[in-house]
Amino acid sequence: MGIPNFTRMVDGVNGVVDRRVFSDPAIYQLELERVFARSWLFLAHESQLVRPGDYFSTYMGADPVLVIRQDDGSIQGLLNSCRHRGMRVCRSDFGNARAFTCTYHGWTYSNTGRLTGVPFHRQAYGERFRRDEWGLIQVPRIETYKGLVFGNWDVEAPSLRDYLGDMTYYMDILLDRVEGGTEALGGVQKWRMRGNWKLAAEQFGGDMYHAQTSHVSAAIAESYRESLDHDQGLQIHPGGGHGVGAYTDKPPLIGDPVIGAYFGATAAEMERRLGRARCHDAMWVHATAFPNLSWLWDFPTLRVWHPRGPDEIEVWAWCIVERKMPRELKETMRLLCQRHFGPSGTWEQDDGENWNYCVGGNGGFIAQKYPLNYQMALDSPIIHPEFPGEISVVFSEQNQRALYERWAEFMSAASWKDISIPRRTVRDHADHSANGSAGLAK
Amino acid sequence: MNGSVGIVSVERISLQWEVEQFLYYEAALLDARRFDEWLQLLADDIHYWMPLRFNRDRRDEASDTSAPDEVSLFDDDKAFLEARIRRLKTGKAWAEDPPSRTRHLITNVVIEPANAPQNADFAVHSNFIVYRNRMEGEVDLYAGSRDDLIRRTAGGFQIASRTIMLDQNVLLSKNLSILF
Repeated sequence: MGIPNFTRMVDGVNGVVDRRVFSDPAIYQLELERVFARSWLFLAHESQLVRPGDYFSTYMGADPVLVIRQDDGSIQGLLNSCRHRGMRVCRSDFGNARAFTCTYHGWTYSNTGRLTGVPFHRQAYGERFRRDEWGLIQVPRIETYKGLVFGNWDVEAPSLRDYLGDMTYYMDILLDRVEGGTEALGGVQKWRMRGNWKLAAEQFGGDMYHAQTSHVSAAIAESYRESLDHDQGLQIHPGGGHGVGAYTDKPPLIGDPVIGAYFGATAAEMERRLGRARCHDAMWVHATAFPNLSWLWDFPTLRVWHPRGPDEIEVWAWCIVERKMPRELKETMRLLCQRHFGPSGTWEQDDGENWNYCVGGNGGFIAQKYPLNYQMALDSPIIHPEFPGEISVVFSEQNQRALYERWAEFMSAASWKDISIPRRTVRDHADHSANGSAGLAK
Repeated sequence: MNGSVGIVSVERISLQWEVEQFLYYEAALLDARRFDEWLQLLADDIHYWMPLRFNRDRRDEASDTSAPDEVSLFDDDKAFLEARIRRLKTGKAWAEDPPSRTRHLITNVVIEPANAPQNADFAVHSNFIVYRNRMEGEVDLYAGSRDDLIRRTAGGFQIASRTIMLDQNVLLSKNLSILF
């Protein structure tokens, strides 16, 4: 098929989405260009890149990228692909290096990406070879928001803060609740699920409705079944296709007294930093920053859904904790995170089952003719005196519709000139966290 | 571990056989999904741990395995393993309903000489291949090892600690909904 009319495949007004959005290989290929090559994509937590030379190997979409702390404290992103024959110049997951040497023909690059060494270069290449034109491809835009490092291939993209817009108001509840901000615990879980990446992104962005069905077995087994019956809360679209969901008037999901004591002890500080509304008017649960970064609050998991074809996702999951938490509490948070989320997680296993077989149903000729229903809470706007964004009830598909409309906008746009930038209404407050872009002291 | 079995005695060979039979019995319980009986083989203070595996340059001499206080794939105590089994029995654990068909192949069983910590009787190493098949086309082949601390009790052997090395970096399956 030719380039489809994406705005017809996604109907946010009537709440229907064409199934081919999840299954068509040509649409997937176009996503790599029109979504992943121009969005701000999560790379790493700053705490993974402490000393100059520290690097972390990751992906932007399907492209392998090295994220490296430079001597001047800045962070650089380099396409992990030798300019000669494309060989990966670094094949370890993380480490510290001043240079990378390709195993094929020995081309050596500094950790800034400069091509510094070519064996026998005079005999092999003579004087015409311009080494300065053949360094590793740099990720042209790297910006950090309160410890989270993002990259963007598109020089025309707005700044990270403008791209996030009012989503930063909600990200601060994760990243800037207390002095010192957050850190990533060691170890990133990586695994390959069947399913389309958008199913995961939309679920974490707006789907509270699934928990009572998908996760009922874990809730029964761990004795918080009634928690899933709660039906008061909010779904918030702060613009840009991002999504946040919260319960209201509800106790915490898992009543661990040590966790409760810490959050009680830091409540006053949180209110000083973030104000009354974010502290008291909602119990924050789930979020997705468009396109493919998601996190939870009940469980300290943060993850990227790397696209691996229309029906495969490679999930990379971090455990994010607050720096000032005592060591024992970080242990408790880690266990809370990985026992419920991650490949062996008693919650995540059942999400994976759903996403796997959604694709199966979406793939056949007949099945593809029938659009998917996204009509939950088509008309239920809520007003909150402070929370920025469009607000709906807790069982709503407002955020999912917004994510797909944003997706359709990206897919239809020839460049960033044709993509809207979300309106920012919240003012920045000062970056209180320790994670400044000038690097970290140990 | 040094490849030397010491004095070859009937007692030593008998113990080897006993421990192997125990591990085969444990594997059979898992494959038959007799999870309550499997839980009985675990000591109350069991630590069940499967670390992550990293790709590191050999010359870095850095560990290719996550540290005990880092994120891992399993880090369970008895209570949480019991919760996992309770979840399976709800009939609503969708990732395992319909259940996986598993086949645990246990080999290379080596009993370490008496160097086990004082509250265990033996340190036992074994290798595994676990084949999993589920639904129509879900097929996984997992390989790795277990390092167990085993106690001999009045009621038989009990596993006091299990460290599982799964020989994968990016987990090439959609979940770890089965046990090792």
